[in-house]
Amino acid sequence: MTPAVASAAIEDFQQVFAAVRAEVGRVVIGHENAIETILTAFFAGGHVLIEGVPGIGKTLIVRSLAEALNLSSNRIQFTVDLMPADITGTRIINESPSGQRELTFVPGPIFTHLLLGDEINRATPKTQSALLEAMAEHQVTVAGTSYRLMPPFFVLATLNPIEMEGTYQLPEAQLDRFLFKVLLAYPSEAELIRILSTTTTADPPTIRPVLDPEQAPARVEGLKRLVREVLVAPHVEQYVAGLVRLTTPAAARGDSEAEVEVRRYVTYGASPRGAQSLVLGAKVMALLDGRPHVTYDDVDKIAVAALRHRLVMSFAAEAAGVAPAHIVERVLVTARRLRS
Amino acid sequence: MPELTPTGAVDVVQRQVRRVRRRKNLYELQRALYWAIAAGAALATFLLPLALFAPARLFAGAAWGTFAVLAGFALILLAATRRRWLAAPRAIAWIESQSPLAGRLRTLVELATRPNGGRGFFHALLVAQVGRDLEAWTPRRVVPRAVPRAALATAVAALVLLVIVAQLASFTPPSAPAVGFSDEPLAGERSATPDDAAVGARAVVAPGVPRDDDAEPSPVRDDVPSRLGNLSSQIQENVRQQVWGKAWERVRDALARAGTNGGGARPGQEANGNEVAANDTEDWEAARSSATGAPRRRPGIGKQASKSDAAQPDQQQDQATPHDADRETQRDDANGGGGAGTGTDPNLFGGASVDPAGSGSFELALAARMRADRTRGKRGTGAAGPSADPDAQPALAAEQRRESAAHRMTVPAAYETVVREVFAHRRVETEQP
Repeated sequence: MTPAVASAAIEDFQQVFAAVRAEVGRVVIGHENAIETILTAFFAGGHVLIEGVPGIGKTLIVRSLAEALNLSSNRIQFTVDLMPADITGTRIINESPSGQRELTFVPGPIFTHLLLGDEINRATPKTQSALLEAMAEHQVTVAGTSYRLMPPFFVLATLNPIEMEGTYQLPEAQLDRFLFKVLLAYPSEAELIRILSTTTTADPPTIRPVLDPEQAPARVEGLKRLVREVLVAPHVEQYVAGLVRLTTPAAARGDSEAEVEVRRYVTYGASPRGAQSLVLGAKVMALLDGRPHVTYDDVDKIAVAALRHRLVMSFAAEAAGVAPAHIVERVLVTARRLRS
Repeated sequence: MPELTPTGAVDVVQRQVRRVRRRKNLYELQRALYWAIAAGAALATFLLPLALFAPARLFAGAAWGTFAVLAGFALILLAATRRRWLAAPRAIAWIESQSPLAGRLRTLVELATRPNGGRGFFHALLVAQVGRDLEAWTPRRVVPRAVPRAALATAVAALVLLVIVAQLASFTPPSAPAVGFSDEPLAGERSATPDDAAVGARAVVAPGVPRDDDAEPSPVRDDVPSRLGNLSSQIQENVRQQVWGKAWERVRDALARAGTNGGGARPGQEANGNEVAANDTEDWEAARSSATGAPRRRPGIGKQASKSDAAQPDQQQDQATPHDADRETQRDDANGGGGAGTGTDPNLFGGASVDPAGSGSFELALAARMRADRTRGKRGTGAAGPSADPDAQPALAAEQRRESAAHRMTVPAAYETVVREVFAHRRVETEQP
């Protein structure tokens, strides 16, 4: 591959990314960083967990993203009585015109490109687990038969704060399958005024698709493959490995402030999936910066989003009000010092 | 700059990295060397005046303190140089920290160690970018200066200052102190027993040399001449020899004759020494007549006076006043000895610092003419004094005089000159007042 072609591919990626971000930004007021993180996860091939109180635009972001990319999307409102088959689909007895009856699989809402799992922690753990196979292997198995999901498959789940009524804790295994976790904050006063002025008019802003509808899935898959082509040097991999290991109490044996806090507040640290998410996110960051290789800074940019939902905090942390993001930031400081 | 190819890119990069390393490490070596020179010169500038003018103990303390500072500075310098030294493993990382390369260089080189050489979709682009960046991290750009100017300037300034101080010091040669006599105990050691107060007439001092009677006896004169103390003394001696040359040799000889190696002679005392040489006879006799033990000065000891003493060997003894003889006899009666020393103190004349004659002792003939013989008339021996002729063999006394300590004591060889001067049979040149 010639340098010119590679350079053009990077520019193409940057253009698509910027265009989608701009289109979503026309509808979603504020949350610029959250939108960029969600897009990063999307092109990295991961899924995103969004935590925020109801009414701040979680669903709007997913819908806008699907429209901008010209991909299909579905929305599942998770409730306490939602069953796994309601997500994956089920087999029904179907009678043919000839009168013959046969079991036919009816795909559930999971068979889409972009899936919004709204208030995912209101479902029971059993139903939540129905997403596990789909998120990890891009397939679902019903009655012993596996069905492939259409690429690209992207799950964007929203999460109400655990303190709210009628919520369940997400299993660690499921949390680990989300590439990033994004916290949506309340909009500022200026953003709130803009939301009022743009959403209460007769002609609210609409999304113009960035990609051609027929070619959109292939284009997105091509861009995702391009992300994986980004070069990662051994020293960056070593940095990522050290960073992830520092989040585990067993490995954090040093006397630095971060390691002491990890031993005190963290029960389980980030998994190898955390390291993978760091590298994949960093690759997207490198492309956005026009580089064919990953640097330390790329890793640092997405470290909090990639690791904070993977730390299982101890009771001492909850009692002390120590958030996982705080631990990750402390670990980052230590890791930066160790690398220099 | 040649365009890089994916196959040879790493070799080109490695060659340039080596050039950068050479320049950087040479720079650091120079910096360490210049700072070491600057520190050494600065400390030498500090030590030089002390070596020339300070007492031996003060110089020894300052010298070892200075060596400690120098050692600490050397350690710091070593650690700093080691930290700045550009070893091969971290050379590329350092180059990237100095240039806006955004990790491209390191990525390319490290990926080359992978089984497939890191080849991929973006490898060619990375190689092209590294080739474009080669000009950005040439040795001259990464290490702009070949010479550490600040360190060099500091070293030169310190050396110039050292030379100036050395030149100024060479213009202030030491005085040549005359060797004389004193009633005070020698070597800065006050007598521990009341009996010693009576032996002051045997003491030998160098008036031109500062006395540290109270607090600072010279380590050379102490009885514990450690190796470290000797080393600092040798350094001080060498410095004085180098700076003052012949002038210091005269002083050293006088000090050796006096049996003391007190701190350097103070400038301006040369005149005092000459004056002593000119009026020594009168001073000597005046001192002898004093009952307070004031310093006595005797002609003939020291460079200036020795010739005249040799020409008139008998006059001093012949012209000794009865008054002096009475006083010495009284002391002899009280302390049982008018000779040299108490008879039990091997360091009667102070500890030897420099032993030009080698180790051991010398023999003082029993028949040597002694200054104490001037009091022979009052000692009850009744014998006539020996002949003034040094070659003559005087008749021995019928029996050895009691408590004649000088005949039994062991005296270090370094004091041979002094002892012979003290006990030489000579004639007092002037009349007693």
